[in-house]
Amino acid sequence: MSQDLGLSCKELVELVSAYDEGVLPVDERARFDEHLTECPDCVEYLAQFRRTVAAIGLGAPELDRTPPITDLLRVFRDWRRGLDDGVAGSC
Amino acid sequence: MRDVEGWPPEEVCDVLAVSEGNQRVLLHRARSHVRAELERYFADEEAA
Repeated sequence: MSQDLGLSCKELVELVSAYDEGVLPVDERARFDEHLTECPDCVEYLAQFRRTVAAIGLGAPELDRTPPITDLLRVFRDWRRGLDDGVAGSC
Repeated sequence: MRDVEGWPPEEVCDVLAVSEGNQRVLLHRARSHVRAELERYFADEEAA
């Protein structure tokens, strides 16, 4: 059997955001669409993913906005600095 | 930032100092995480 260039479910799951953002290369997008035509589970996964993204947006007004985003950004930067230190010279 | 605050991707890249690709990976991980938590929540609710 020749190597099928189709997407696996595992691969598709990783590409969902890129797919919905419209940044997948044309050929990869075609393989994504083709996989959907033959995999009901991934169709459901995509639907759940979209509902999730929509729900995140809808929930926003009720979210507790503490800590403020500036604090979160500082945590992110410190976390990244830790990563950078941790992998320094390893690649 | 993207989904809750509604920021455009370029602004997120700017503020977090990450590449566009990296921004998307972080976004995708966060969304996947929330989806998995919702799955667990609804599974628990169904079981109860």
